[in-house]
Amino acid sequence: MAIAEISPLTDTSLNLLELRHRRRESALHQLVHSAFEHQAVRHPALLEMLLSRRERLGSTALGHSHAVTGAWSWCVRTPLVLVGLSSKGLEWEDGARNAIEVVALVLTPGEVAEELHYRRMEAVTSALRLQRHRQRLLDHRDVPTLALLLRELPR
Amino acid sequence: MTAVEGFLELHDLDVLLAQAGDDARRGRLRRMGYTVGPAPALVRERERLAGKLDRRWLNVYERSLGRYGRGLSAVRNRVCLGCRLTLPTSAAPPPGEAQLHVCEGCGRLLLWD
Repeated sequence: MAIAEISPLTDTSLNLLELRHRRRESALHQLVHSAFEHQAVRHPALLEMLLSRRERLGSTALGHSHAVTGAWSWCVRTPLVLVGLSSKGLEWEDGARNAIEVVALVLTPGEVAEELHYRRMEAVTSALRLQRHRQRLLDHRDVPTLALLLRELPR
Repeated sequence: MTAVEGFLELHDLDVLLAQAGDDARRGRLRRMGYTVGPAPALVRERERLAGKLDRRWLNVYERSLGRYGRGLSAVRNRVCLGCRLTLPTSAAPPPGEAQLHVCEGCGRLLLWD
């Protein structure tokens, strides 16, 4: 009897990356560029503009060290959650005392219901709310750890 | 800026303005921990953008927005995602090119790519 080794399938709707820059705009640019490379986005410049405008409605920084932003847009081709980690810390808001270490970008295509986008945002914000969850991600910087944290994320 | 990009941007702005202006959406964001304030600058940006767009397409967009709550819909495999009508092959844009289209069934402005 042959024994086949089955390797787990990679979840292509999640991605983790290291953020190189300290400014919010640079971090958003890097996240959007990564999504574009994954072919999850069309018109990346428009999406970047949308995310910058979203910040003007009110900051997407939640708590001390993390931010969760997102877009429900026709510029998004496939659902994707990108999480960026910053070792140096990001200057997310002017005058903010704490540096942001974890940034999540939740992308939902315009063709699905807006309700699903809100549920995806809720799943990500609640998964990253606990400091110990964020610390686990900072300690184990890999997609399986992220997938475990975001196991409740609606696809 | 192409017509397609202009209407994509307008649609994204309208989604943001809905988040800022609608109590239910704002309440949901607040429960997630966000503070969403009024956005007079975004309203001005929308006016400025709408002024640059083709009046004919803009009328269709505004009508779709008023009737269905979204100004722009899309086509997947020749099917309007708004009303599920199959659109004629002859109306399809050349491969790799995105175009605006008006659905014959529901009158929505469609992004066809």
